[in-house]
Amino acid sequence: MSSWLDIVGSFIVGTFIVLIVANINMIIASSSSEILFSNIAQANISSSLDIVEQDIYKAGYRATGEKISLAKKTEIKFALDIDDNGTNESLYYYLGDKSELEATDNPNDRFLYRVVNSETPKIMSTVTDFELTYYDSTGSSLSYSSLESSSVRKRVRSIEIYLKVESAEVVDSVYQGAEWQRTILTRSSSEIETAFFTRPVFINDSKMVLSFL
Amino acid sequence: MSGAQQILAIASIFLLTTLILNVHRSTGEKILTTYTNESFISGTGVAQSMMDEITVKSFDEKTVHNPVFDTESLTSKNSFGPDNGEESIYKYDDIDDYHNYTNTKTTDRMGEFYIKVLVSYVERDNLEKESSVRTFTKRIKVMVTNFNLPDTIRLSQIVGY
Repeated sequence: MSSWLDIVGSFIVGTFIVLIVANINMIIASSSSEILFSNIAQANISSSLDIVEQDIYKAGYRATGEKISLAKKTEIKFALDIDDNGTNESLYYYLGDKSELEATDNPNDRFLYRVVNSETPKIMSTVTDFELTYYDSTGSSLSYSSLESSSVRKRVRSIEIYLKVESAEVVDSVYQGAEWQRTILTRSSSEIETAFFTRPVFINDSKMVLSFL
Repeated sequence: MSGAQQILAIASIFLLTTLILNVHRSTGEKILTTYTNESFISGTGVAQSMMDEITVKSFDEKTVHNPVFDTESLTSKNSFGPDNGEESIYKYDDIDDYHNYTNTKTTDRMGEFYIKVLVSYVERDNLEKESSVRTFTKRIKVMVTNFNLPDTIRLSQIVGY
């Protein structure tokens, strides 16, 4: 009788141990995927934002004529002299259609395209959100409908860019991701071209610190 | 079950428990690191936006409309902050108006980022050192905190006139 109890008890304990180990395996696999997808999203957003940030920062740089020719929520087209040769180039950013990435689990991911002049559109990144908000010199946001007018587009002084990247695959019903938001004062702003004596000069001693206590 | 078997069983349960706790701690730490990284990316964007906004403003209230040739004409350190009539940030026209400015920026994933700005004069020959007197160099310090960040992001820029 005693040996039977031992056998049944061992079997129950053994089953629990197998279940615990299997659970650990699942946790490790799930968290590894979560970390991997999160890191991929962060890498994607870092590489995209470098280009988007630099481009939009230069919007209107040494350009003649209309500087921002299209200003929508997910689209922007502007002129700039990207290679400093005295000739205007145009840059056009827009979001592709969701149907282009139907093969992925994420229903919201889509391509962000960058077009220089009339070249073939190039895929910048896969994003789930790309939004632009336009502000005038008083910091008031300009409505998208008003931005269809060229005179309103001339009032754009800063552009807020919001970029969100999420993983293509779902982990524990969550899409891992990263987001980035930045307000950029564009070169198209006439207010920047103030008299020389008012402007500060940057001294090469800038630094960014994140210290861990 | 003999005494030796009981000791072995207890030891194995102890080892298993230690293993489980270590796995949980390790995965928790890794996930925390990814959140910290994400928060750092978002926080840097917030800090840089603030810095961009400040650095396009005039060096000093006194240089907004006219040139200044003497440091004594500049705003004194004690008068840093918004000038009369500058009740809104959109009316700030020079760098030191932003001294002690605070704001909160909310993002979807990482929540609230708290921003604080400090402006000070620095010695022209030693840019690390704050100056108690007026100089033609100012340091703008933007600090951003968020609950996912282990410490404050500090972004500093020296501007000269």
